[in-house]
Parts: sequence; C-alpha cells; structure tokens
Amino acid sequence: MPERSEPEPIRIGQRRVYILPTGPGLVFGACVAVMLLGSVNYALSLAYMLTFLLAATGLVASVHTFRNLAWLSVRAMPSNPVFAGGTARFTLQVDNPGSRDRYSIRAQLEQAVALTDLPRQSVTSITLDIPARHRGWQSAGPFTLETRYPLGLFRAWAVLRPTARVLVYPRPRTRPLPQASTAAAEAASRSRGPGQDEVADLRPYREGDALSHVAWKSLARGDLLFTRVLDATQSTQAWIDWVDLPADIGTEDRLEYLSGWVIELQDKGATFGLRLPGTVIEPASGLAHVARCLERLALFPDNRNP
Amino acid sequence: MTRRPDPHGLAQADAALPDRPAGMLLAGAGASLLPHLGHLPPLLSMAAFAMLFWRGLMQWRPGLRPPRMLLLPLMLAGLAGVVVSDQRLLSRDAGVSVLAVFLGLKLLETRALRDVQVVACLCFFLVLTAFMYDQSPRVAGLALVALWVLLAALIGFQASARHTASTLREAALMLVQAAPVMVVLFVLFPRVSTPLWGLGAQTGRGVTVLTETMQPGSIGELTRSDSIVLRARFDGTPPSRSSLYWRGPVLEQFDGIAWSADGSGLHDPGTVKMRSEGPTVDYEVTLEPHGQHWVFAIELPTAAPTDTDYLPDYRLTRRDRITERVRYRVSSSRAYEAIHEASPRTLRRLTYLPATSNPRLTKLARTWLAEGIGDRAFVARAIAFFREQGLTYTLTPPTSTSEHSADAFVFESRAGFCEHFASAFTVLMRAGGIPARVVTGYQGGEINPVDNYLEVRQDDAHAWTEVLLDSRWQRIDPTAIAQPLRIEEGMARAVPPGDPLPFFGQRAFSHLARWRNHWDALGNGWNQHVLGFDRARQSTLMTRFGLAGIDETRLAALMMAAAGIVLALVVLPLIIPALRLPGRSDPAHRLWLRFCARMARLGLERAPSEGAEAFTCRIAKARPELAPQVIEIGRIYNELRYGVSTRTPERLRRLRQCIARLRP
Repeated sequence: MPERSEPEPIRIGQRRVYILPTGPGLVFGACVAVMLLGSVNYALSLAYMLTFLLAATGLVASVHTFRNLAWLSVRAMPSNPVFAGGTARFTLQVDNPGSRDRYSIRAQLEQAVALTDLPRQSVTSITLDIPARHRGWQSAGPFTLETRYPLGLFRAWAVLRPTARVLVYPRPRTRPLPQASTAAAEAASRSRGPGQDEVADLRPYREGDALSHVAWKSLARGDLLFTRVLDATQSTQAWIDWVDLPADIGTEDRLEYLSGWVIELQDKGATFGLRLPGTVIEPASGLAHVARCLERLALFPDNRNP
Repeated sequence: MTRRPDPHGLAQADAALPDRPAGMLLAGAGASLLPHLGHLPPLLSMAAFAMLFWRGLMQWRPGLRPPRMLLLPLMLAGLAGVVVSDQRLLSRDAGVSVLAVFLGLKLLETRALRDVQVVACLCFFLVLTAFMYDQSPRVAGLALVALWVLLAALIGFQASARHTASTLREAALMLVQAAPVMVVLFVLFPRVSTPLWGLGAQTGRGVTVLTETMQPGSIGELTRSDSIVLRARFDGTPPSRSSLYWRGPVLEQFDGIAWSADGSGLHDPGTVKMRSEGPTVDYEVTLEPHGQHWVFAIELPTAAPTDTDYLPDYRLTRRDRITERVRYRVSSSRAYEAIHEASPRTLRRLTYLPATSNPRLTKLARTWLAEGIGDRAFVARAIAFFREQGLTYTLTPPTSTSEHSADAFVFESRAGFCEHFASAFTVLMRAGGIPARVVTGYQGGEINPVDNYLEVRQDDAHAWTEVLLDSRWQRIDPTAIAQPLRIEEGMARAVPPGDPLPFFGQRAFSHLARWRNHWDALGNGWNQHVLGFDRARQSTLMTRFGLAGIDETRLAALMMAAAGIVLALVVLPLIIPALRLPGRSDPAHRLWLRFCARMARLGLERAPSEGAEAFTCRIAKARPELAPQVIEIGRIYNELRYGVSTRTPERLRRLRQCIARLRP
C-alpha cells in the first residue's frame, strides 16, 4: 500500500479541512474589486455598502463552506470481493453527529463521484464504484470529501485514507472442464433430481451455504434455518487441479481458467476440491467454499513479484 | 419535480438547472432590473424582461431554448438598440443598457452552474449601477431584496433538495452575519475626495427648481411642491424665521414681463465689497441636487465655502452643476453692509426699463419725482404705497394676459404672489431711477423638531427686491410690506382662509405634518449618516474615537484588523458548538462516560478498542451481581447511539435510571 491508512473512524478535524476559492469564487472576488473601484470613483455610499456587503458575505460563506465539511466522522465499510474487470464497491459511512444538516457533500474515489446530503445526527452511507483491476488485494486510494456549499465560491476538501481494500478474484475464463471433473459434475446434477437427496445430517444454517441445500421443509415446519449436509460418499467429488491445464499456460491465465472452473462447478452444484501448488482445499460445496477457493486463487503468489 | 444535479454537473454543459433555484435566480434578476425601469429605454426594459420570461418558460419547455446561432444576432440587436436609443455610447445610461442586455442573453444561454455565477455577478453590477441614479431608501431596500434572493438562488443551486424557504432563511442568516463586517468596512475604508476618472455631467431630471428667469406664475409653480430644497444645521440657536433669506439667482434683466439673469452683471460691475458688522451665524447646509450651478446661503455670507465662487452680485456658485447632494459650511453676517460702487454701465443696466412697459407705474414714479423727493424718500413713498394699495397675497393669482404685468397686478387684480410683488416693486424703483433688481431664493424654512435640522422646501420659494442706495444694497421685501405674516409665520397664515393651500400646509393636517417630520428626519438621517458619509465625516468620526488625523495607510490597517475581529466574533458562534469534543453534545454519550468512570473506580477500565457490548459483557463476567443492569445499559446505549428508530427519549430516561440505580 502506497499510503498508510489511518485508524477509523476518521474524524475530519478543523486542521485537515483545506479550503480555497473556486473559479467562480475568483470571478466573484474580481467582481467585488471592480465594484469597489466604481464605488470609490463615484463616491456612492450605497455602492460602498453593497460592495462591502458582498465581500463580507463571501468571507462568511467561506466559514459556512468550512463548517459544512468539518467534524464529520468517516468509516470505511468492508467491501465484498469482486472479480477482476468487475466493479469494486466501496462504502463510506459518514457520521454527522452535529445538530446541522450538511449539504452537497461530494465524495470522490479515483473517477467515482457521489453527491449526497447528510442529515443531522445520522449516519449516511456513500457508495463509490471503481473498476476492479488485478487479482489480489486492491486498496482504495485516498478518498476525497469536498463541498462548495453554500455559494459555490469556496471549495473545502479533506483527504481521507481509511483502511479500504477489496479482494479481487481472478477474472473467470471459460474452458472445457477436464474429463474427470465433467463426469463428477454431471453426477452432481443427476443427484439433484427429486427423491435422490441423501441427507446425512442437518446443521444450523451458516452464511454462505448453498440455498439448494437449505432444509426448506424444516423451515416450513417452523424450525430454524437448517442446512442439509449431504453424505459426502453419495456425491461424486470433482477436483480442480493446477496440473489439469497444459503446461504452456502462464500463472495468471492459469488462475483465470481455474477461477472459471470454480464458477462452473459451483453453478452445477458440484462438490469439488482445489489443488494448487502447495495448497489443497478439500472437496466441499456452498458459497463459503467457493469464496475460500476463489480467495486462494486471488492471493496465489505472484511469480512476477514474489 | 426536482432534478438532482448530477455529480459532474459542474463540468457538463447540458445539465438542466433545477427548477426552484432557477426560479429564484430569475426573481433575483428581475429585482435587480426593477430599479432601472425608470431610466432604461422602455423598449430595452421590455426586451430584458421578455428574455427573463423566456428563460422561465424554458425551465419547463426545454425545447424553447434558443439555438446558439440565434444568440449572437440577438446580442447584436440588443447592442444596436442601445446605440439607437442612447446616442452617447460611453455614458452611464448606455452602460446600464448593455448590462441589462447581457443579463437577459446570459440567462437565455444559462445551462450549467458556471453560467449561474456569471448571471449573479451581472445582477450585482446592475444593482450597483442603480445607485448612480437613486440612493433613496426605496432603491436600497430593493437592492437588498435582490441580493437576498440571488444568494438564496446560489444556495439553492448548491443544495437543490432544499426548499425555497429554507434557502431564503440561510441567505438571510448569511446577510445578517455579513452586516457587522460590512459596517466596519464602510466606516473605516479610507475615502478619497477626488474621483478616479471623470464622472460625466448628468443633469437633474424632472425636478422643479428655481431658474434664472422669473415671470408671473413661475415661483407659484414651485410652491405646489413640498420637496426639500436644503437642510441646515446651525451652530447654536437658529436665527428667527423672518431673517432667513436664502439667496439664489439675482435677476437684473427685465423685458416688460419676465425677469432674467444673463450674466452681464458680472462684467465690469465696479467695486463690490461686503462689510460684516456684528455676529455671524454659522451653519452647515445639505443641498439637494437641482442641476444648476448656484448654492444657497442666508443673506449675506461672509465668505464662500470651499470649491465655491462668490460673485459680485453676492451669489454663491459652483463651477459644476449640482447633480448630487452637496454639503458645505458657511457663515452669514447678521448685520452687514453690501457696498457696491457701481460703474456707470452697471448703473444704466440696473435702472433699465423697456420704454413702453408698465406705463401706469412709470407715470406714478414720474409724479413722485416731479415733487423733487430724494431716493430714500422715494423708496419710503413706494413702501407706503404698497402697504396702502390693499394688495393681497394669494397662491392663486388671477391669470393676467396683460403685457404690462406689474401694472395689471398693482392697479387691477391687486392679488398676487411674491413674484408679482417683487416684480412690481422693482419696476417702480427703476421707474424712479433707483438701481434695483429682483433676488429669488427661499424664505424661511421650518425646524424639524425630531432632528433639529432646518428644512427649506420648494414651497418656501420667494422673490424680493434689492435697491442700491448710497452705494449700499438694501433688501426690500414688498411681500412682507403688504403681507407681513407671510414672512413671520409662513405661507399658511398669510393666505386668506378658503384659499387652497398645499396639502401639508393645512392646519387640520398637523398630525400628518408631525409624521412627515419624523419621515423627513429619517430621510435626513439617511442622507447625513449613510449617503453623506464622506472623507470629512470619516475624519470627524475618527477624531471622536481619538484618532484625529489618522492617515490612509493606518486607517486601512485599522479597517483590516477591525474587520478581522468582527468577522471572528460573528463566525465564532458558528463553529464553537462543533469544537467541543465529539459526542459530548449527545446526552446518551455523557451518561455512558459517567458509567465508564464509575466502572473504572471498580477497577474495570474500558479499553479504547472495546465497544459497549464487549465492555459490559466483561463486567458481567467479572461482577455477576451487576450483570442484568450492566447488560441493559450496554444495550440501551448502543440503541441510542447507533440506532435510527431507537433513538427515543424514553430510552434515554431508562438509561439514566439504570445508571443511577447501579449500586456496586
């Protein structure tokens, strides 16, 4: 990570709010200067008053702009993993603990921009979507919160570096599954036919379990959510193996094909394991398993920069 | 329907403007055009408002947007309109017209926030130029409204979800916060007394003023107006009303009907002196603009004020026409000798009468002269004659078509206004070979009890006679001779009952007159303290602060410092509440801190990383007897701090109770 991230929540104290006039603000200033020249020349008291009132309003506006941004509290929420080439979504939770509404707070992360109002004493989520690039951990560069409220004459901004990173899985690429795996997958599809389920046990539902394995009947009876644990011997196991791919495929491409196979087998509801150099994930199924496999692929040591 | 501006709206040219602030912007533009309606060419005002209206329609029919191709021809047409309607391109009027045209066109092509700022700046300029024409409180009020609405519009564009009323409130708040800073800048900004560049002569418009000609009825015209001519503030007690002769144009030329001043009296006048004997009266005059050169002083000023000439006919004039309110200090002598050793040519001019004019008065003078009386006796005879002739003073003299106006007044109608008296008396004097002339100006004035300024109004306009006896000018007021009350008590007493009086002169309206006094005093306060705040006033004020003779650099430094302090004072309340530690303002958090402090005394200190739940669970394990209460405290605290719908006063009360009941 190029920049150190800061402990959260990040409170935007008055010292980290930068403020500068905007383009229109400079034009406004020039306007006031010309008006002052006119007032001096014509010695018109009311013209002086108007000029000074505008100048004073500009000064007051800068304080309003400043306090529209200062003393917010920002926390980055964990991001869900995405596939490379997809959209990484970062969520900032901005807490406005004060007794004033904040208007037109513009959050920016790379090219992504979001504009929102922050009601008083509330926490507002701001989501920013940026493209997910390479597999592995992608940390989000500095976030900028800025505002031009109320008059657009000044821009106040703060640069935040919360711990915001997203796990990027290798982009899935399709390629026919190896023979053994295909057979296993077909077996799995067949075994999902009616009356074919061999339920070995029920255990409490855990997040990530496949919905097809939820014991809907027991839920209907009024019980809690259970997951059917299928008898492993009954399901045919498939293996996704590093060595199943031709030797001339490089690491990155290889990871992408493997990622594609994980998705394919997951779609077919197969039970599968993953073999990588130095790592073995025992066969299982369910979203949690898929996530574990993809994570392993994502974090596979990079040959180029070990 | 409100459209949120899209986040890139600042850069995107075609983003539609949100409705509410766009409406406010148009209202603000209209308000800044409004004070100019009186002096913009009518066609141009109509065009400008038409463009405003067009822009309004565009808001809900975007198809009405004029193509860019059309804007250039429109602008050229507008500029051509300016040129056609106002010949001088570099004049103030043309400048304002061009601003108005630009504003209309800019509105038509306004699509993005960027353009909005330009429109606002154009409006600010328009408002400023309005003050070149009129600095009355009415225009100032209009300007303030325009400014307010424009600021609200700018706020609205930044936060388009806000309602109009709430943006107006915010704008008002900002103006109120800006006002003290404005006052400091206004008072302390170093004033210069000379303009940076030429101002261009502008004549007063549509004001009825004294002129350099007087014919029957011309002064009577003035008395229909009660607008204020000048205000005077005296050092010490003001002189009595009857001695307040405000000297204006001196008319020496007579054509049989009208008197006029052709300025020939200024050539070769002979020796003119003025000797003051006795006390002077010192006062400051604030003269309303009348578009002429002369300024008024009580007869006779001892010396000319600065920038003013003292002419041989004892008249004060300025080189430039008086187009703005001017203020000057002057002293007048209460006992003086106006010595004029007139040249023969001047004497001829001062006794000239057209040969056949006013035969009856001429004949009367000849019969008196035939008795061989001297000049003084002649004047005394004439005064007696005027007193005995039964001449009545009226505001509605019968119209005379006679070419011998003086004869017609003295012998036929016998009713007239001051110019009839003065004209007839002067004719009689000249007929008797006595150098005489008509002096016009104002007589009297009334002290406004509210601010003790003497106010002289148009209906105090007056004309009197001056005769040259033994090389001394003597004032003779024939009106006062025939109708002393006019001079001592004012017009209302002098006019016979039943004669129509100017509205405010009528006694029945005395309570209205009192209100008028307050209103005028207010107006005068505005003129003196706001509009008339100039270099002199500024240095007087600085002297009062003990900063006599402060130079411009120091004044500017003082202004910066004072403005900074005032700004800080204004702004501090805005940020102080937030400067307090985070969360301190939340009562739930305060209760929680108290709870943590009590637990710490039991040796159970909360780790910085520990949340409420984790902390209370740890306490519950360490001190099982406290478990139920402590767990509840943690739960309620979390609900109060992090919930949305669970933030209720009941829960807060419950939390307070739980913490109070906790007896470790």
